[in-house]
Amino acid sequence: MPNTPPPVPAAVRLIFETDGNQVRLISEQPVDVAIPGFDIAQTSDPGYYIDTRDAGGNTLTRVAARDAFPPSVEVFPEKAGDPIQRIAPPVRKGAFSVLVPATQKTRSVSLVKLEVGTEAPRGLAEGTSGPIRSTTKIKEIANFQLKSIAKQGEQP
Amino acid sequence: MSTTDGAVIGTTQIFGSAPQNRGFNVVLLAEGFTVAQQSNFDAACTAFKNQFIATAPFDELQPVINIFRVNVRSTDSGADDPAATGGTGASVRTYFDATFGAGGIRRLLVCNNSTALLTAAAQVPAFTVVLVVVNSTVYGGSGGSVGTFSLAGGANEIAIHEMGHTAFGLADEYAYWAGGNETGRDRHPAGEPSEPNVTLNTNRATLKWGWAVAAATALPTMSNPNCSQVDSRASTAAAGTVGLFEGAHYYHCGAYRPEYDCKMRNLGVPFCRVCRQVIWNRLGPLATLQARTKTPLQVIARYPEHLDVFGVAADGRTMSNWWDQSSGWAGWFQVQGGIASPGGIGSPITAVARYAGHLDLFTIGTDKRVYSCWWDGASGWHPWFPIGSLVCRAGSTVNVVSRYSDHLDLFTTAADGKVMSTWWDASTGWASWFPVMGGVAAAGAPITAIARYPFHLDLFTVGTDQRVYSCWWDERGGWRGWFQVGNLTCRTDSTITAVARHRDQIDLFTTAADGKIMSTWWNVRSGWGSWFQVAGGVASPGSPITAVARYSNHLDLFTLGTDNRVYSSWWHEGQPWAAWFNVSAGSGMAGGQVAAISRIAEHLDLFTVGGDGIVYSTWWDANGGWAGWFQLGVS
Repeated sequence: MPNTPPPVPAAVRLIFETDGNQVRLISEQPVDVAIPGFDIAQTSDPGYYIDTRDAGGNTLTRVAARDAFPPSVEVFPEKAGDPIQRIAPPVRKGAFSVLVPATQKTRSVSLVKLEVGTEAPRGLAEGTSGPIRSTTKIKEIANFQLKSIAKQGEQP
Repeated sequence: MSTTDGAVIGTTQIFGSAPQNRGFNVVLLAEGFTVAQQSNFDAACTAFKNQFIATAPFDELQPVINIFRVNVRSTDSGADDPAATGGTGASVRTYFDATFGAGGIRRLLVCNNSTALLTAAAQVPAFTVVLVVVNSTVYGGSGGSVGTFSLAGGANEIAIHEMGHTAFGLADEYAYWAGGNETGRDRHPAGEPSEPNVTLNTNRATLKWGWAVAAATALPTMSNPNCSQVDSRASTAAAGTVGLFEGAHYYHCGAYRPEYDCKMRNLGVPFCRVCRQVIWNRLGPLATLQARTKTPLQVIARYPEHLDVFGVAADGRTMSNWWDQSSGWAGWFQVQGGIASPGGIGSPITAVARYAGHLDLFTIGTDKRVYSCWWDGASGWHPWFPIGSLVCRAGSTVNVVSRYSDHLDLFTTAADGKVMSTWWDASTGWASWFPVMGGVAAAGAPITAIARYPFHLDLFTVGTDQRVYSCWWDERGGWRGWFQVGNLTCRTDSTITAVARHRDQIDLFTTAADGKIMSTWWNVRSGWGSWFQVAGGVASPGSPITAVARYSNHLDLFTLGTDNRVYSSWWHEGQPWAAWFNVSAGSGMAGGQVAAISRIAEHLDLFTVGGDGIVYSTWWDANGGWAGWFQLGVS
């Protein structure tokens, strides 16, 4: 079987720096990396995500940003078996990195927070609980134009 | 105390040979090592590597793991260690500015994450995880976007636990927030956690790790008798039991973990079964799929910019991969822990999209029962469940038709070859299995079904006399008896492929006993035509004929020839069948199948299992013609 590569969507590594509630994009770097579906959101679970957007502001993909604004950090016990503790983040400043797929259509990225409201489960057997029906609110925290993609898309 | 206090010396790959663009790339950064101490960093990296790749399931995933060490020299040795938190009072000049005592706790060791991420990106642009190794024997570490750990014994465990959060989205499974003596942690608040390894759900049918729970395991498996405190009793279940163990996600009650213990609960213990599977689901897609030898692949387009592909791995795992125009191929992953029946060519996964945000899957399990699971855009994948108690032939196919969005019709063969059907309707649920008009299929012959319009079904199969049979159902008249379609003699395991180019036309394709590729048609005005050989074609023994109608007056056919190459022919109204041609020099597994789909009229996507057992794909576009074949993995 001949083996030629498929058309590879460009990926861009984004590095963000946070200071309290503020966020800055400090690095965008086109990279040849496959982004597995595991990291591309297919459902609307609560949390932080990076949305890639086209020129019209439409969302193209949503990638989990698991390390954005951690609400706490873990402190590990020196002795095995002793409990782990969680405390509020000890420093205001932080940084996180996300790889996003980027095609010729991609123009910007947005850091968004998905917040999920709940409805009581219905129709379940007595004594059990079930998945909660959810309603999703999307809050945009910051938007950044991607310079590297704009350069790739320029006509000669 | 910054990057002026040192410099990057160089980068060395210390483990792995996976392509970096499809690898799980772990980067280890040196912090607080002087030029003279670099060999200590090298030794620490080796120790971490040895422990990491020996930890299940990373031990089985080594082919996709790369580990790099980035040697960085610092002006001084070690890390800051403030006296206020019980440290030595050391204040040292190091590249990543690491310090103990963050948050007033000496063993909380942090560094400048921005510098760490920028350094890793510069040295290994394809990095997945960044870990900073701090040159101190004082116990310490922390997690988040950058894992930090010291040289103290056991600190490697911190790095692996934190990787569970950062790379795999795993939740903490411990049942307390700050050691267990705090208040306000009695019962988990409402709202299902999004992480895959903790839940509030006690319903076996919808439990997110239901695939891993034995039928005999009680749910909940272990409940906390006193929610005012952490349940510190020993496990009441056998080691390795997967169920629902109360106390997780920082709460004593109301939240459950899959096993009694796990590395996401305690350092120094293995990952539980569910966490291991989650890690597999993240790393497995980086590899190509070794498919079951002749597994029929199925592809569906829920909308034109998206494809879902289903196949069965060599070990029977039910696998899927998806492509989206905006993100490429996602990589192969196992669907809800499913294992498909062996026997014959092995049971395939069949799938249908009743609407764009929903998938229904079907297969025969290893107990020869029919199983289904579904995916919904709002709630993700749901566990496999059995449909009735029908026992099928080993390796049977379940074919499914959705005549309208709230209805499914299923067809398969019972252990004695009887043609069986059931249906699901949104208003009534699943019906009982019933035999379809006494029909019996030849061994290995699947039941083909099409709905030319919402209130009509046509079935086709090969009977025990190797002749082609059909019957139909109409809402007004119910099921009609089986009748023979012409006098063609087929292989016993021939598949009858049916295409309705429009509601008054059926085109059939199959293989004769001698392998000839045969076709006939039915038209509402003229009835059934005679069987004829399509352009002199002969298929590889066992290979079915795949047909796609891109327009109502156009057909494209695909199969494997006697030389196991992938061949195509087409028909356009008013013209004879085109001569068979080899598609992009491609070849497949003897007796295998070519899956094809047209998600837009001027485009075709093809899939087949190559002679090496790996799934390949190519496409045709009216503008660019045929592309080359490529291994289907992640892109």
